[in-house]
Amino acid sequence: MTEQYIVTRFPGINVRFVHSGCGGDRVTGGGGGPIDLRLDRDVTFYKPSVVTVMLGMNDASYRPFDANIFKTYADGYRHLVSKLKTDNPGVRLTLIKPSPFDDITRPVSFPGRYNAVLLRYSDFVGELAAGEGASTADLNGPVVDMLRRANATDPQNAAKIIPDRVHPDWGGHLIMAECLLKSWNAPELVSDVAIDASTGKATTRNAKVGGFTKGAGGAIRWNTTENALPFPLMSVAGNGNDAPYNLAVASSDFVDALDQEMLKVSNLTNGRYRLTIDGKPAGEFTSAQLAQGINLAVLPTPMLEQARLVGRLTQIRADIHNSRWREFQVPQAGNPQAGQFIPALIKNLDAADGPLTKAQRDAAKPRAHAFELKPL
Amino acid sequence: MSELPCMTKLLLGIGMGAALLGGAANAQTASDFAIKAGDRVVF
Repeated sequence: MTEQYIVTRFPGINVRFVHSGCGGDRVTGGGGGPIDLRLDRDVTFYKPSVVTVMLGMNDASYRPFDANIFKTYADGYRHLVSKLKTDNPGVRLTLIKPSPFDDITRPVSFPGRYNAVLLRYSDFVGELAAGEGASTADLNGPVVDMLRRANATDPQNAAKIIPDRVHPDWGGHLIMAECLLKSWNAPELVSDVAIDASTGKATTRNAKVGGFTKGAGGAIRWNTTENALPFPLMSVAGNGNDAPYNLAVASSDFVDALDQEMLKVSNLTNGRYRLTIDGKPAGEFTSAQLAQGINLAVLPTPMLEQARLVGRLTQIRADIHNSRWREFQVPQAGNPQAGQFIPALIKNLDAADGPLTKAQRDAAKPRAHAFELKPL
Repeated sequence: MSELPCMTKLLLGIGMGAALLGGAANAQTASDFAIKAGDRVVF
């Protein structure tokens, strides 16, 4: 989702993404192998300029705070950061404070709560980052705040945002991505267009407007080309999990903070209007609402459809890389029968990355759209 | 909005609420963004 944001918000910049996170990992490694192998094979191999690290959920072992367990974490984390910096000179690290164990929508795990243990680990991550010149992203506090708001509104669906209390569903992932993006000073602006309906004069940020005309019956038309796309909200849902996803969005400030595609139209004759974009209805609004401003990012627009295509291509690229890595490279590495075939298989899967990246970027390129506001 | 599906109505409600609440919570610009052209990001 972080990649989806960057590709849709900055379609012109060339940034490469590799997803090397592995569920179950600790500072010592996990199912993907010991930590030094993980770092060599899954991180340094890709010559990163930016690396994010999030560890702690498994390290703390789902039990009350234990000083010995914590020491293993702290020592292992220091080793990990040292190795990353030595092997990747100049790399910018973002150390992520562990995402929460859901003690909000379910009874607490034990007196004192497991998430309170994770907060002690978070404090260590913050101190380590400060000492190592790394940035931090807090994926705990803001997600807990979101869960509290969601639980107050709709407890049944709030419990589905992090269904097993550890691994988030798509809505939880989205809010965690928001936390990381905010730590990177991600802009909220998709575009900002203000049009005076009486004169056709337009004021824009990150967009171009032209072709303003007045039609019969008070309709107005114009063309807009934005330099960015809205975030592909709901691109990953539609699988029966829409309600928890929407609850997570509504219980957060995601739209305010990261997804502002604003349209203001002033000096319309008082009344209600239907907005169409490329001939398709996007919504109905009063002249007062249009004068105050509407956020196109959450409307069914051609721009959102375009963003969702970018989102799907992003997911396909990530899925292929994940298969290459998790289904072949790691499990078959020591298999004497399969081993001889693996390098060619990996090479073929890697060959898809370039064309898929190009398809992803081509799909994100700005397009002109025909807008119309028509009185109802 | 009667012809719009429920999901769209919900998202529309979120968006209009955000707009009517006065807009964005932060004011970062593209130049402030920590990820730059040419970066290779490993998550």
